[in-house]
Amino acid sequence: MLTVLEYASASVLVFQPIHTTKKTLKMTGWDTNMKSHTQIIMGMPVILQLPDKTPQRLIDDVFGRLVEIDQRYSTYISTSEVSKIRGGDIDISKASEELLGILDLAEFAKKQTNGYFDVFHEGEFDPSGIVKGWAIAQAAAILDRAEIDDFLFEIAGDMRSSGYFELGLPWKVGIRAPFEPSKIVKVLSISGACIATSGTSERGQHIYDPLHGGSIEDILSISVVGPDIMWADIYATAAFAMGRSGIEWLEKVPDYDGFAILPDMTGISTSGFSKYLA
Amino acid sequence: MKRYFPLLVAIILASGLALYVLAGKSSAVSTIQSSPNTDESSFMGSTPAPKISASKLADGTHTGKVVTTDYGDIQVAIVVAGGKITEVDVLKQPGSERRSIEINANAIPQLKSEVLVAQASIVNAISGASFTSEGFLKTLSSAFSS
Repeated sequence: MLTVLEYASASVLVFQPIHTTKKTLKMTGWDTNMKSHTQIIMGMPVILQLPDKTPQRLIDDVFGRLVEIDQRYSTYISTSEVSKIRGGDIDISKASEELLGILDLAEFAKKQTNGYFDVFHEGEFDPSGIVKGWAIAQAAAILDRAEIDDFLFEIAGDMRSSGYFELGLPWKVGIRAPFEPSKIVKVLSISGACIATSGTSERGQHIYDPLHGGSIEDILSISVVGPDIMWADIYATAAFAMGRSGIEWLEKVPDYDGFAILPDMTGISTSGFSKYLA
Repeated sequence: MKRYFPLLVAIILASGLALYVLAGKSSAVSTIQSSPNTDESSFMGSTPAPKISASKLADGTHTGKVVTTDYGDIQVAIVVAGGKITEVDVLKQPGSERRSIEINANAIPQLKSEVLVAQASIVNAISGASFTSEGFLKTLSSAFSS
């Protein structure tokens, strides 16, 4: 699954998560170092930044849940439920309860995005576009239930934050400059918010409109910030597919904000975006 | 540029509205902008936007009165410098319910545009465009067919 819309570019790995020096603030009880845990699942880097006292068993549970989701919904794994549906071995109406739930969400997402987000592509079923965000939400919920208040949960550049990186310091997340993986053009400060980005990363890459023969080249990327990672991801995908008008559409979406980067290297942000700026 | 025409028009309309409110309905006007766009009907009902020159306004910030439209109250302020409107702030806009929010957002996009500047900052993580896969192309393709 998470065969996904997007693969992490190698440059993601260039950025090493920050490790703080040991902070002990007895007055407030903050005694936490963040430790980074990375695994490649679904062909993408999964990076968890967790308090160093997080039990290993819990970390294993989180990664285990992602592996399980991959096994069920990957289009690359022939034994997955999604592959069986695609191959005609299982009728989609007989899908598991969990997958039917995802399909419900996908249907709602299609309506919300005026048809721009669709898990059926020319009749072919591919839920990858919704599963990535959904997987982050599902696996991060394990941390919530274990009352881990402070963490950053990232899969290939899309992430959910919770709490703080250090006492009173929200998580800082950069938005990468297109074509220049070593540069960031925005720094966001998030504590509980989620961010997802869709776009092209290689210069000269074009997304062709198969129906009209043209190509979409009026937008390079769009990042969406908001309360839920699955919806941030869905909205980023849909808004990018809309091209230049995607950011205007996003302005109308309650609770979600965004930042689009155009080919002339200007950035356009929605009216609420500035509240996330560090 | 073409795609941003509605945005420009909305700003021009908002400016016009501010001046309309400031100047009162009786003021003599001279045209500073003509716009073939039709967006004005979306938030001003059938009332055409007045076209007024800012050249007679003193420099400074001018706050308009609250105007009631079909979709709710709206109020703008303009900043005039050297006889030109340099800024339009929407102080009040319809937003009491979801439907209003959507209609309103259509009429007054408040998108901000800027030149990208590389930031020197230490961050915990990076969000960015990554490779676009086949699945995404398919999503696009289906979007166009819908």
